Amino acid sequence: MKRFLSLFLVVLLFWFLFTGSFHRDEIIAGVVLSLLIALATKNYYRFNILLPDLPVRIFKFVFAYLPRLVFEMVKANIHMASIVLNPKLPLDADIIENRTSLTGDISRLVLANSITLTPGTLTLDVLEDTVVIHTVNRAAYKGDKTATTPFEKAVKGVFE
Amino acid sequence: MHTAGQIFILIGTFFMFLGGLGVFRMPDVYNRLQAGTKATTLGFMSIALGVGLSQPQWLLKALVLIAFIAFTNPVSSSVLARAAMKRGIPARKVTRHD
Repeated sequence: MKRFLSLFLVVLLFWFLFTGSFHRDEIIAGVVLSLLIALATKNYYRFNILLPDLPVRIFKFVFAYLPRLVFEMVKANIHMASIVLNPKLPLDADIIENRTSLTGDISRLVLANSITLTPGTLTLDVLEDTVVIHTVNRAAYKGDKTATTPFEKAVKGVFE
Repeated sequence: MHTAGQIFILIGTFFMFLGGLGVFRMPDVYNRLQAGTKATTLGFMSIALGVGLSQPQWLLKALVLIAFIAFTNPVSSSVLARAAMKRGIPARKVTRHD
């Protein structure tokens, strides 16, 4: 029931974001359509947003996770630009493995996404607690958790 | 506001260009995906934000688009890279050749 309600609320939120109006007819159509969509797809989604500390999680997501992600993305693009625009193409590529302590499916997905967007790394696969990563800067990844550590904390407080 | 939007669009197109150049210059599939993903994600975000800033009635929809791209673009490139890995395409360790 909680999962169904979560799905319904998320679909409804996206309805309001896309229509951008709070006219009475729009609200009725949105509620009916969200109910239908939630009924039709409830078996495919397993998440629960109705947690007691939801505001804290949203706060952490907006003020701890997002700024870090945007900063890392800009850094990643400048790093990539410096490689691409360099006539010598200074690549030192390899495939490495890192461990993660996250257990939830969604938190692992978000961690993998974050790693893909950080400088010089691309997530290839997530097998249980092992993240397979392709990197263009082998020297920077010595340890077992070099790539996963920076984001793990931020993801843990929000999605897990 | 309009000028700020134009500047964001310009930055976005520059990153898109770098992504294209990266796909052209990189030696193997993984490196190409690396160059492609990062540049297109930030490039598109910058362009969408620029459109939203110069046409404020589109700002909310532009932000929704940015959120969707941030969530789906890395997944798509990860899946492509994963398929390449499962197919057994080797990553080049020393990729410089003079």
